[in-house]
Amino acid sequence: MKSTGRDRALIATAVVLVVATATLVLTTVLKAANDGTKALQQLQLEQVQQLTRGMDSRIASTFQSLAGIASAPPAWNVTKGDAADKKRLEQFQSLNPKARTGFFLVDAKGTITNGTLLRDPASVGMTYDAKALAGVLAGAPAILPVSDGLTTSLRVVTIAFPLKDGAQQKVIGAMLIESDLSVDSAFNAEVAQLKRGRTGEFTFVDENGFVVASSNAASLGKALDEPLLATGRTGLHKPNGRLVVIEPVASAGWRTVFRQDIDEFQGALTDPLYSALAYVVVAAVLAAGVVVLTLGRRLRRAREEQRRLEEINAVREEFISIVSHELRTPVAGMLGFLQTTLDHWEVMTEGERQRAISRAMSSARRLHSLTRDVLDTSSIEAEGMTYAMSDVDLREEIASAVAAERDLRPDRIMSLELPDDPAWVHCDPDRVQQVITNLLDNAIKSSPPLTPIEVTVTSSDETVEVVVRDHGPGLSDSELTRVFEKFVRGRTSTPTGTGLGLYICRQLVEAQGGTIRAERAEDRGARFVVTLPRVQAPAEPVGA
Amino acid sequence: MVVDNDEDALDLLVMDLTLEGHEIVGTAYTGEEAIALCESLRPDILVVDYRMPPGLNGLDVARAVRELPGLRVVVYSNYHDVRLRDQIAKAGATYLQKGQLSALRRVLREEQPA
Repeated sequence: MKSTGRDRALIATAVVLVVATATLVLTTVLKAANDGTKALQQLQLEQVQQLTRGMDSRIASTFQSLAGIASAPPAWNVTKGDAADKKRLEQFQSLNPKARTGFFLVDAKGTITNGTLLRDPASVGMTYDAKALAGVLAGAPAILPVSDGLTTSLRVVTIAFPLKDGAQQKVIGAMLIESDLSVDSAFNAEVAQLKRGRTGEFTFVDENGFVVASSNAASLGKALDEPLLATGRTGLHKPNGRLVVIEPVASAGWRTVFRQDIDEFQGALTDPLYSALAYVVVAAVLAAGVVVLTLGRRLRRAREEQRRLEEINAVREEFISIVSHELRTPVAGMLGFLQTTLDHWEVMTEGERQRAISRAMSSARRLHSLTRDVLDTSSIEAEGMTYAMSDVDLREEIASAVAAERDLRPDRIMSLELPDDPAWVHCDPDRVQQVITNLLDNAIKSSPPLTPIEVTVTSSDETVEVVVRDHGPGLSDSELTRVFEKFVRGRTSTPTGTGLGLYICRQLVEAQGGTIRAERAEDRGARFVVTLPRVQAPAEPVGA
Repeated sequence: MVVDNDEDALDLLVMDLTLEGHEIVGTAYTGEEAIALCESLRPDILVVDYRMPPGLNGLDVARAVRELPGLRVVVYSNYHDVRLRDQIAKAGATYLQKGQLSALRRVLREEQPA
């Protein structure tokens, strides 16, 4: 009981340990995933900020260099169709022969005065969107919001910077440089490289939220579908399972937008962690299972062992009670018959005396066989049984055992059937006789007084077989399997004997290289079959 | 009447008690048989073994025949057991240890109705 209690505690401890370990691993992994995600988000934010700063300074330096070019003398005339202005614009244009967009000038009122690559020459003389130009004409360069191009059919962003008079005092107009929003524009190609994963995209939008450049080509020139832009918020946000980072590009009035599904964004980091976690959990469950199974099996074995020990103990106790009863009964019989005979010698008839003494004798014999069984059993168990082996004709041994038993029990019918030829076996003849005597005693005890007991010896090339068959009630299934076990007694309703006889038989037979088995006989009764290996006849026939 | 499931023991008692001058009106091997015979044969004394597996034991028999008028019961046993002796006394019977023939003869002489 103590050991099963300890095993149970062991199982509980093991389960607690496994659960605790799994929990620890779980929290560690979750924390790592969380920390990692945060770090990743911070990195993303910093990347967007850096990109934005870079863009900002690029725009600022573009403004500066364009302003330098534009303000170089001679001063611009900015009058409608001015030839000198036109020539100068065409010089600029020729610097990049592959350019798909052009330049144009507006005067202080916003009227277009000159241009290159103008799609519609009639544009000259028309007024450009004055509202967008207000700041520029006040003296500050700007990138105008996305609009339809004048020098290309595509949507464009336009860089606009002010032009001053010769004295560099007064703004007399502005130069506008269009840049088309196409996938293959140099700027866009640069942004396109920033595409991240399946859902991650970098986009630059103008002040109205129109896409200036994007790693998602389809959105170019259109309003970006991003609700967060309308709120004017910047920084990192996580609306509806998306990660959105918005940073302002101050010089252009643009905003940098990075967007990605959170799952994909974190996936690279968290997926392996979660897989690892799943492995750990599975391993923990398996480990717990194995532990519980192993310990459970041990527990069950311990219980079985305990039950077996209890069984053995019960059997042993019963054996002690049986042996003491079996000892007392013949002792009481022997003493009693002798005392009766002595006390009543004078009045007893000759027949009565003979009967009393023969009963005393049979009690003594019972005592003798009991003593022998108990001693044999302890010899067998101490492996101290000795065998005087020789080649014998088994027919003679069986015949003499049966004859002895007939003498002892003249009231029982015992038939004997022997083969015509000698049945040579290598055995201890005394032990073989003891086996047959035991089997006969068993048969006598197990069958009603008037039924016959049949002993048959047959031999084949390999073996010699002795069968002792009775006409008693036979054997039940459990008796068939257990009858040769120690202390298993009796097929009669009143079991007698120690339950050692058949046990001894099996031990003796097996020690001599034979086998013994019990069977149900046809009709009724039991058959005990002893098989011993047959040997060659000795060169000098014994007793010839 | 004498009851014992062991043939030798039964034989001994029958022989000894007969030689002692008692008349054995019946014998039985089991407790059940003993009770039935007591009712039909109405012996003066019943000598019964305690241990008679698998059926009723001597104490059961003593209890069963207790009400029969004029019947004395002696239960004998291999076992020295104070509790058993008390139980047998309670059932109105005398307890004797097996194997003590002279003790049995003495008890029977005392028990014998005058």
